[in-house]
Amino acid sequence: MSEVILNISKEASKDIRQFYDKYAGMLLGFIQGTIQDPKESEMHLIKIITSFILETNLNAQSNLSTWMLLRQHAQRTLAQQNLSDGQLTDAVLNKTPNHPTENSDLLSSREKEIFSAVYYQGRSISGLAELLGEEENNIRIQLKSSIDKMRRLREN
Amino acid sequence: MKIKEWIDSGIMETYIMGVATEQEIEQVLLLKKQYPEFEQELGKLEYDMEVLAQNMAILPPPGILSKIEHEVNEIQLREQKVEKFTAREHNSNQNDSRKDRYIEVESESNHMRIHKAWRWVFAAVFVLGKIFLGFAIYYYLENRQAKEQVEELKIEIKKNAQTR
Repeated sequence: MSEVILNISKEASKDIRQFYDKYAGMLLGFIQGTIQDPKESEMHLIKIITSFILETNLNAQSNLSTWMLLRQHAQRTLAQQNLSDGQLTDAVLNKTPNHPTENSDLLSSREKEIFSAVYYQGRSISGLAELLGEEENNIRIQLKSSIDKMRRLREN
Repeated sequence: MKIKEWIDSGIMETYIMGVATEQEIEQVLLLKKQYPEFEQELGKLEYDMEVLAQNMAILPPPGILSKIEHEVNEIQLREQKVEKFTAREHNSNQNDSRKDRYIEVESESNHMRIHKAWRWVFAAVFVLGKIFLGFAIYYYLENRQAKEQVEELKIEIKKNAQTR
C-alpha cells in the first residue's frame, strides 16, 4: 500500500513492519492454540496487532518483554470475546508448544494440561487448582516443571 | 526464604505467564530489585519463553500486514477527525461568549429536509398521475364519441318516424 494513501509516517510504517516480522508468526501460533479455525485466527491476528500497536505506539519495541506484553494483550482480547474460556479440550492440550511430538513424550499429561490452560487460556493458578482438585502450590510447581522441561529440550 | 528457593518456587513462571496475583507481582518486582541473580533468571526465562513461541510460530498468509497497516491508518484517521471535531466544539464554545456582542435574528428557512425513501413515493405518485391522466383523456374521447353516435341515432330514428 502506497505511503501517499496511508496516513502513517514512513518511520511508523517501518516500525510496524519490523514488529510484524518479529511477532506476527509467534502470535498466530499462539492464537491458533486457542482458536482452531485458521480464518478466524487470522482475523484475530489483525485485530490484536492493530490494537496493540495503537495502545503502545510500539514504544517497548526493543524491550525484551514485548512478547510477554503482546501475549497478555492477546489473552485479554480473546477472553473478552469468550474465546479462551473454553474447556480443556484435546485440541488445546495437543497444542503443547515447541515440537509437539517431542513434547508429548516429554511432559506428563497433567503438565501438558496445566501448561496449555495457563499459556493459551490464561487460567489462574487458583482457578486451575479448584478445577483439577489440587493445591495451588502443586499447580505452580507442575507449571514450572513443564516450562523447565521445554527449556532444557531447547538447550539440548 | 532464600533467593534459590524463590527461583524454584515457580513464582517467576506465573509472573511471566501473566497469571500472577497482585501479591505475587509485588513480590517479583521486589525480588527483582533486591537480587540481581533473580533479575537475571527472570530475564533468561522471558527470553526462553520468546524462543519457545518462535518455535511454535505459524507463518501468516500474505496480505495480513497491509490489512494491519490499513486498519491502523483508518483508526488513526478516525481519531484525528474526532480530535478536530472536539477542537472545533471547543472553539465554538469560546465563540459563544463573543456572540453576546451581536443581535440574534430569527429567520425561517424556505427549504425542508425529507428522507431519501420518499423519492420513490414521489416517483410512484408521478407515474400513477400520468396513467390516470391517460385514462381520463381516453374515456373523455370515448364518451364524446358515444354521445355523437347517440345524437346520430336519435336523428336517424326521428327521420324514420317522419317517413312513416
